[in-house]
Amino acid sequence: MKKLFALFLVVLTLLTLCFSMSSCGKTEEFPGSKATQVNLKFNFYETVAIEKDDFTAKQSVIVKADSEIDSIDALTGKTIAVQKESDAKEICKAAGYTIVEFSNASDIKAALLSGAADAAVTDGNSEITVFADKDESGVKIFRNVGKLAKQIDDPLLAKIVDEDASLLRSVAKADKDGDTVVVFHCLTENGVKKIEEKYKYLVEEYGDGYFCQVNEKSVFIGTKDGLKCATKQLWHNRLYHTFIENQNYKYILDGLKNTLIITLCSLLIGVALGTIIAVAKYFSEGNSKLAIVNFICDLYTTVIRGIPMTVLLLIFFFVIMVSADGVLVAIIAFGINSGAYMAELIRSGINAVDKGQMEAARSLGLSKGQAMAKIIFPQAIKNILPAIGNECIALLKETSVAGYVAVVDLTRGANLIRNNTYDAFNPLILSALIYLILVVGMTKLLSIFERRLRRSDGK
Amino acid sequence: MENNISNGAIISVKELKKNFDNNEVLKGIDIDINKGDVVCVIGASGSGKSTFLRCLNLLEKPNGGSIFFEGEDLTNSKVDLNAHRQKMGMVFQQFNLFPHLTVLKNLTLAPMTLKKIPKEEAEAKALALLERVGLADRADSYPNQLSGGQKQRVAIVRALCMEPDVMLFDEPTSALDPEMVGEVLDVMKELANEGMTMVVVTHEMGFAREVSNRVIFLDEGVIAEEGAPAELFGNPKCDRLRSFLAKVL
Repeated sequence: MKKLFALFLVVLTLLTLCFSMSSCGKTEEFPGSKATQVNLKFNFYETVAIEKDDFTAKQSVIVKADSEIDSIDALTGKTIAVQKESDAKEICKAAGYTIVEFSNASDIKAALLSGAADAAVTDGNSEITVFADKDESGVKIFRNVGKLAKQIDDPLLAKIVDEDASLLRSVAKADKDGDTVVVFHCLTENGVKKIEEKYKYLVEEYGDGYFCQVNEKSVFIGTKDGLKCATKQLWHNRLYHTFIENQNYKYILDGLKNTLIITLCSLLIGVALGTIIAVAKYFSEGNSKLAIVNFICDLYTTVIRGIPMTVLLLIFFFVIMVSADGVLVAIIAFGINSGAYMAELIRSGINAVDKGQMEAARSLGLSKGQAMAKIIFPQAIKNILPAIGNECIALLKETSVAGYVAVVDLTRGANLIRNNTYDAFNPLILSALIYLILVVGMTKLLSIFERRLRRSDGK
Repeated sequence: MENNISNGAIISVKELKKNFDNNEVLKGIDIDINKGDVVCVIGASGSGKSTFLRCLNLLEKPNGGSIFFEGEDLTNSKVDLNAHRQKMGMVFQQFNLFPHLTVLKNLTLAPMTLKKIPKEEAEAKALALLERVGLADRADSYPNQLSGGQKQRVAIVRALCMEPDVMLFDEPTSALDPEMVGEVLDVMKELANEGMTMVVVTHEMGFAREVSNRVIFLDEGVIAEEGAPAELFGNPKCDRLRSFLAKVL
């Protein structure tokens, strides 16, 4: 049985690897060398990074179309609009620029167009969707393009980057030392058509040397070699890009750490709470003097079991413990939630113990409390150990919603990598694998524990 | 309150009544049990024998009447029941050994917890008692590894480890295979010969006749007849007892 299971795991891992390699893009031959409409998925290695100044390729500088600002150096002394809590804000502050803060890109755009700010600096490519088409929004966008152009080997591509920087989405290298592909991003079909029209000549003039491909919102221009590399990206480069570059693996490690902390602490709280409630309920049921205790126990289990975990978590974070650390809030919320389910489990375990046990214990002179602690409870736990195991596993997986409250847990970590690298497959599958390993580990631990307790059953 | 110790009665039951929901099971029992008595309680199913026995150590709470044990009224809510229960050992039909503990632990749990007897002393005492019933070699086994007769003997020893003044037996051999009944009855016989006060609910008429000095016949919640075994078995007075004995003997 064990061998079969090991074999299954090996096959699963191999399949995953194969899939990962193959998802790196297809090596299709493109019909002719003319510009054509295709649905391509390019997987780029990286956006060329610009080292100098504090700007990396991830920041964009946006100015009004008629502004005289034409380079990053020209920003000194100007008012700069930035988004709250963005890297751009930190960079601008560090560089000593005068900054004005806004909460979203539309507000920034409004400030820019009205003149409240001379320029805007934003993170990432997402801002392009708001500012993208220079014709429509009346702004131009650039990123230290002078330097950018210098880093591109191919002089023709470098010139293109120089000229049409405003619509530039990224300049990407197909692999670490490979050829460059220039990507223009346009908001409208017209925009796409215009760029395509402008650079169609590359294909016509240089024949096999250059390509110009479009998909819905982007135009890809590069040398034929660059194209080949881009579409046949090596899987190990992809993994490097996704996990190792920019220390992305840290997201996974931090996430794992937080997930484990939250799970273990919540488990302890849940078991403790569950035990207290279960025992309290056991002693107060049928006893009119303790009716209030019974009521409180019922209230707790009913209310907590009646609210979804996510809602409970959000209530704790946004209503009850407003400025607390996310991990702490998560631990308390998950602990309280788990406690309600544990209480019912433990109570059913206690009720399943033969009544004669309590009678024998009491007839020896043991008090109810002593009987519960030494006789009933140990037997109850043995009964419900598999069910408790289930609860532990459920708790581990439930913690994946902790991301809602600004906790970087395993799931959120994987998601962050996905956001940053546009690679959905690898981080998510990795996080799934890690969860799987954790669950298998938990199950193994539990079965060891169960076997120890069963010593007393054997003949 | 009368001081019942002056009578020499270790247990004194006055007008004991017990209902379960609307069913009146005990309709008024009066009896004095003296030190050294071996009282056998017999009767048909449903006559209230087990209920009566379980009321003696308040496992069932009486609905009326009182139970005096060594001078104290156990039905009084202010009395420390646990302390008194330590002096009343009970042996159950279903043994009720603690399955998650070894035999030795079963025996030493109560003395160590309640009387704070140190471990070595408690274990020595337990082993000595086990020796007497012939089970010293099973000290480290778990109850599930024992036969029924062995379990019941361990149960008796468990109760004895607390050095009780009275031993209550609730149909101790009813759940045993016939060949194991003898070994348990032998232990009980020995106990009786040593002068232990015992109240035994049983169907074993042979034991009742041989070992007990008083037999009580319970019928429909009252004591229909009582007396010395020879009298009761030889010369039953009431009709119900006569027909009962006819069926059983």
